[in-house]
Amino acid sequence: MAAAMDKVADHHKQKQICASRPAYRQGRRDRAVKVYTVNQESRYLLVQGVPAIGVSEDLVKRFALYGAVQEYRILHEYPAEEFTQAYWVKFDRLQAARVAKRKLDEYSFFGGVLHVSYAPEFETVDDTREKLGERRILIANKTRGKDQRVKQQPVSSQQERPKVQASTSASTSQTEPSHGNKYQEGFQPVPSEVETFPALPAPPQYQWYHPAQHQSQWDIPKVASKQGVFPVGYDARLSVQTPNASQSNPRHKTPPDNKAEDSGPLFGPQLPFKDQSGDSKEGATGQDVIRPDLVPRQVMAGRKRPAPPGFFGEALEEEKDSKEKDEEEENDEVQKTSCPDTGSSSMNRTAVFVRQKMRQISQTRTLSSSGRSSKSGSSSSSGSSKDTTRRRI
Amino acid sequence: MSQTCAPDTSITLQLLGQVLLHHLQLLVAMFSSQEYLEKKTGQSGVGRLQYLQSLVTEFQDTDKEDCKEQVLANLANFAYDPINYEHLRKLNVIDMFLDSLTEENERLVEFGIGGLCNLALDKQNKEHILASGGVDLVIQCLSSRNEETVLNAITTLMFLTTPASKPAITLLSVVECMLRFQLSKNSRLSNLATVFLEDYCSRQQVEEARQAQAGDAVGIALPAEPQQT
Repeated sequence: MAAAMDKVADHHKQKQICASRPAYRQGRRDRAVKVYTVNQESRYLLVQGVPAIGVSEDLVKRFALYGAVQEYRILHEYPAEEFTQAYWVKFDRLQAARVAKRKLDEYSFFGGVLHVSYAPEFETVDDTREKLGERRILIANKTRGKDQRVKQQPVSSQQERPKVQASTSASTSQTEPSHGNKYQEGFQPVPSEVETFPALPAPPQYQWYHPAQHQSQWDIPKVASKQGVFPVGYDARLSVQTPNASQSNPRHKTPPDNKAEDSGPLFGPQLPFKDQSGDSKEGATGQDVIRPDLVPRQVMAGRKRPAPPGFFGEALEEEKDSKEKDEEEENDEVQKTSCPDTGSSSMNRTAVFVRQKMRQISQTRTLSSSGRSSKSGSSSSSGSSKDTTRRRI
Repeated sequence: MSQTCAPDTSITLQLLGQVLLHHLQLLVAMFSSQEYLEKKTGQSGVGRLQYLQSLVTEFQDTDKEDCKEQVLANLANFAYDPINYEHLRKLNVIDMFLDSLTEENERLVEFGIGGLCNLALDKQNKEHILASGGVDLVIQCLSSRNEETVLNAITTLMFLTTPASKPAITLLSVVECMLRFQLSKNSRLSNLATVFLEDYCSRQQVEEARQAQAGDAVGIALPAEPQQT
């Protein structure tokens, strides 16, 4: 069936590349001015410019990447340049031939540049009929799918609206119906890339640490990253709840109520001024989440921490008395081993504050211990239990 | 695999893999999808509708024949992919193709009929063409000297056939013309003519045409056949 081509047909010749295109419609590849319809395309390809060095297998393998090659031949009678041959390649499917042609045209192959063109003249009547039928089915599928999608699209776009912020959703809802009325029924609205844009996400806000975000009393205060540092003057070891800081938005600057300490987002929340030594355990509200008072290691420098009561399995009551003595000793030692006052640096401020706190603790404990000695009953026992639990930690 | 090969070959293998994957993706779909278009355009690119609009504007404004040919060919190629049909309808490109069929410039006619051939299978496009009297214009193209024009015209007639338009398309003169084409040495032409006669005309019509042809020699002029040696 393949007729020997005595003269090269027009559609086998390579047309001149168009050089006069304006920049806005100059494509990625240089192309001639040509229109391809279903008539120009075929699953038969003509490949010219193949070096005549016995590369048939490699050539067919290259073409077979894009689809099954049914048959191939060398066209010896075809007028070809010196040292080149023309091949006739038949694909199983038109789609594969299209891709192969697009990819392998102007392809450098073993030193030669391939020129691939369609060869519909090699088709039989049935081939042509089949080709036209395939095109029909493809278009029918594509357009039928679009009709179905057109019906669904208004619904889906309505579903997508809640995701968009209120300002833009109003604009989309206004534009969509107008588009729908303007054009035919089957008209698919202009794609979203031409219409509105999705709402921009909220700009990132400086996330400074605020302990109000604690949910449980055992949460460890964290900074955002490993390289982060706590704000200057902020002591993460202590329970730090003030009504002002906890109730308001942590991102807003909370003007300090009491002390004129450093305000603003760069500095931590207000340090507690009143006595919050663990008497109020209101973790449920989330506001006054109190962490147990920790004795800072720096304060206890050089001194071994006493074992928590019951650690060695001893009876607790015995330890109460000894513990009282220990506390008093501790307080004395705290005062002795406290950091020297070298000015109003932040570190020393912390140390000063810690010392004050310890004094407060000791005062409350002495009060409770005095209460205990007077045997006031439940309050003392609760106080003592609190002491023991505190000491354990 | 990359461990056993040398670094160079592993890179080339990866590249080859990516190339093949890209080719496979192309193989999956003959036409573009919306996602593919968006990916190709990018975020700051010109959208498809806008681009087609600028093409149409250029066609209307320019005086140079070269530019008109280039733009018309570009639009005709866009008409191959159904994803563009709505845009083309909106921009009245179908009318543009129909108008170009009556141009003197043969290339404009060729590109115009090519565009119609690409478009004509869609239902809405078909109705538009039939309503605009496109059948007559296409039949006129059958007598063109350009091989591609004639081939595209035959195919367009086939695609435009509906129960309503069939009488207009399978006119006696048209069937006669197809009979002549069937005898041509140009296999593309004869194949298309055969398909037309076998699938789109009734036997009776073919018989009538044969008898009429035996009678008179005047009819639709044949296109210039490709010269053999």
